[in-house]
Amino acid sequence: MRINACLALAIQYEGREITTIEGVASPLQEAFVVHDGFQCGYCTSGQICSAIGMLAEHGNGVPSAATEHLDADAVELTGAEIRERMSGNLCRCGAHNGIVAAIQEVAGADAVSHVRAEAAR
Amino acid sequence: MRSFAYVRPDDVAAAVRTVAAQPDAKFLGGGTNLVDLMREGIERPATVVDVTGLPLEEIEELPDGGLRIGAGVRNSRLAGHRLVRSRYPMLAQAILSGASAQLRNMATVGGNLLQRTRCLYFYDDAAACNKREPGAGCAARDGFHRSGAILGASPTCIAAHPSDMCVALAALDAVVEVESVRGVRRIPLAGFHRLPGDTPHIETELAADELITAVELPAVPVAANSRYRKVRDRASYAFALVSVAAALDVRDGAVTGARLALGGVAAKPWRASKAEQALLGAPATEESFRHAAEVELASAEGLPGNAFKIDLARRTIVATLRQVLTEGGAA
Repeated sequence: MRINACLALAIQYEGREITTIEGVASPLQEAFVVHDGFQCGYCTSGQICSAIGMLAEHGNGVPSAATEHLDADAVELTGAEIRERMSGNLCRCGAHNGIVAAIQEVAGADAVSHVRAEAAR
Repeated sequence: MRSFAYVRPDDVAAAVRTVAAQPDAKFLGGGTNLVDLMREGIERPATVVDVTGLPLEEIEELPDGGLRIGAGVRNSRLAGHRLVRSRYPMLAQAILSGASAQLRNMATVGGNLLQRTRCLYFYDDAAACNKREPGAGCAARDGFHRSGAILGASPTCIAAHPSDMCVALAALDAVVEVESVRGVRRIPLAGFHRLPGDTPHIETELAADELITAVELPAVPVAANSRYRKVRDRASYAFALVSVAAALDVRDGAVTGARLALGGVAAKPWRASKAEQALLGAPATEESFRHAAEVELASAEGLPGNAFKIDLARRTIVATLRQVLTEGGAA
């Protein structure tokens, strides 16, 4: 689950497993490079950690403020959905188009591999 | 850095006993507001009682079709709950339009009810603020008050309540269950938050040693056809200038049921009862919606920096009702 480290009182998380960017090995990292998903790099670690959490939330069927029908079982991960779900991570350089493209590519690859796995059963 | 004591009890009785025994103690939920306020020196509790270890994380369906929501349930979990999405879509939408996903993952239902205003001068301890320091004055009145209240404000304070979730809860007749060493009591949400009057530092009916344990929603059939609409300075991750929670039931062209509440406009989530009364039995038309909005906003007062919100509220009420009428609810 993604949360804001800057608002987390450390003692509340005693005994919990915590993953920061240092513990991440994700295709998102390569995709951010390929799609120019950053410029100065200041927000990048947060963007990638947040995107990992976001993709997990989406996979669990969690809706967002951009979701048209809240009762639907699955939500298509459109550009508008990604932007809304990632709005807690602001890039002051304005690399959001690249960030959205990187996330979309990785989310699409996940969807493709999921379909292949289903088909192979 | 000020030092403070931290305790994490695992039952409600121990939690309320601890706070009753220490006047400077505060309950801590997800920490998204209190931790920030402590860092700024606005809140200075001597003891912090972490309530996230208490067994208050259930969402249960009630026999009458309502819901009982534990105060420790995280905002994101409540918004994603199947029954909330289908029976109370205005509530799911309201929560999802608040803060960011990271914050919603942390924030609790009880904490959302008790979050403090985001009035700039409340957060700035060099500025005059009657809410922070009774009698000090109000810097917002002659300052930057774009977010300020247009309904129910007083000469001492124009701060608005920042919650989205509470706006839907007000429209749904939610009831807040609280517990202290004196026992359990239930407070209707509509009367939970107070208008500022001469005592803007007293924001709710909750006593300092009372803990919110649950929020109950009655069955509200009309709420299945509902929406929440939020108008703000940017498309996401911003507090409301004006927001509207609306539910509508229309038969043979006439309004047979309506729920309406406003956010961003007052020190409390504003149940628009006068507008609801005006809507009941009226034809479901743009003209009726406009009339209802005008009735509700007749007592609204603006200052130079926020008077635009009166017309904005009027138009947002009409637009939200129109959308519910033509497109149905958000479920």
